[in-house]
Amino acid sequence: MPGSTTNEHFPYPYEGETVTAVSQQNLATAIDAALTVTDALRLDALKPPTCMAFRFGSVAITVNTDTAANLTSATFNDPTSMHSTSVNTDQVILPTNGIYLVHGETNLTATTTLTAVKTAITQNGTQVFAQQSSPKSASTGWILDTDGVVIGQAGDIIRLSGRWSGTGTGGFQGCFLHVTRLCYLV
Amino acid sequence: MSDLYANGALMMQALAEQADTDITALKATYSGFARRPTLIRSLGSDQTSINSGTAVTLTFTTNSFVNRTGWPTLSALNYTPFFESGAWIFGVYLKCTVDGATTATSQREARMTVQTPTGLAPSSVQTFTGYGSAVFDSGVAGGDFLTAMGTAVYQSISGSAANQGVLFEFIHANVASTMTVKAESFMWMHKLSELE
Repeated sequence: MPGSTTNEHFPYPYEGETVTAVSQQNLATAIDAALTVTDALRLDALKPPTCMAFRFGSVAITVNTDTAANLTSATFNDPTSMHSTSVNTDQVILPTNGIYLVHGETNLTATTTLTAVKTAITQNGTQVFAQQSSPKSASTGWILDTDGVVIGQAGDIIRLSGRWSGTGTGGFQGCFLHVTRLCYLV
Repeated sequence: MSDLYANGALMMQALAEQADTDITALKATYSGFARRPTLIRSLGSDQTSINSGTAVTLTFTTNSFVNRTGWPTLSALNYTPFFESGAWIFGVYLKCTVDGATTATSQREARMTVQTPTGLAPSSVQTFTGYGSAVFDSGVAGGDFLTAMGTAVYQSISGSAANQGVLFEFIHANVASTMTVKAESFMWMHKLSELE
């Protein structure tokens, strides 16, 4: 009956027991398995789920209406399940529970006058935080960013939305969303 | 021959125990790195009747998320303390509404000021870093929204982890009436790294 270590339960023969190739292999296998788990923890800690998605180019949106941005390009997306550049491009799906740092920015424009702009982050359709302002002087374009954290569950959907008020036609000129996990919930 | 077996067994036991110690430490390090100190607090109730032109301290007292027991509550100076030494990132989200008449395009501002003690007593505090974010009334129903974000390094003083934290304030220029910062407004802080 071999002994075992306190935490990882690595098996070893007691003094007086016969050391065999099998007992040596059992120890090596157990250490290898523990290192595999440890390496997964290392990757999870040092490379948390992160998505950086964006879109450049004009997209008309209805005046005075919060509208989710379709992000059809991405510079980084790991795991890939977080975001697609072809299907449901307005969604970033959280892969694990956690506190996520979210940065969003939109470039909103109007053909005649822009009187108010808003950049917001939503979680499952509900606004979590936002920035909203009015150009102090007549303007037809405004870039507004917002930063904050989200208490997320796996599967939650994060969206970047924008809104403009003014005259003429307006919409997104560009938009950018960055989501990365800061820590686990437990 | 029996001595060889005994030595072999002892060697394997030593190897197993050393590997156990090292791997357990590695797991704790990586697991802890993914669970660094983090705090999210909301106002919990509306902060009302804020006059224009006067910065008011926002007292975030309702924990929405905290992963350390014993995180200090608001200090006597009303700043939210960091939990321990390290490099920190923090921020605030404010939703505010006008209580009466609106001064068109008047300013709303979130201020975050890092407080650092000059000595061990929390009463001797100086301001060394400030961050802010300002927006202007958008004329859109539903309130105004503000976010701000900043960073700080929290160091112990003379070997003691003296209090240090972030003061959150709101100021506006809506002279036509007072304003309210809504209950769902929240602050957050997260430790990015150790100092050594």
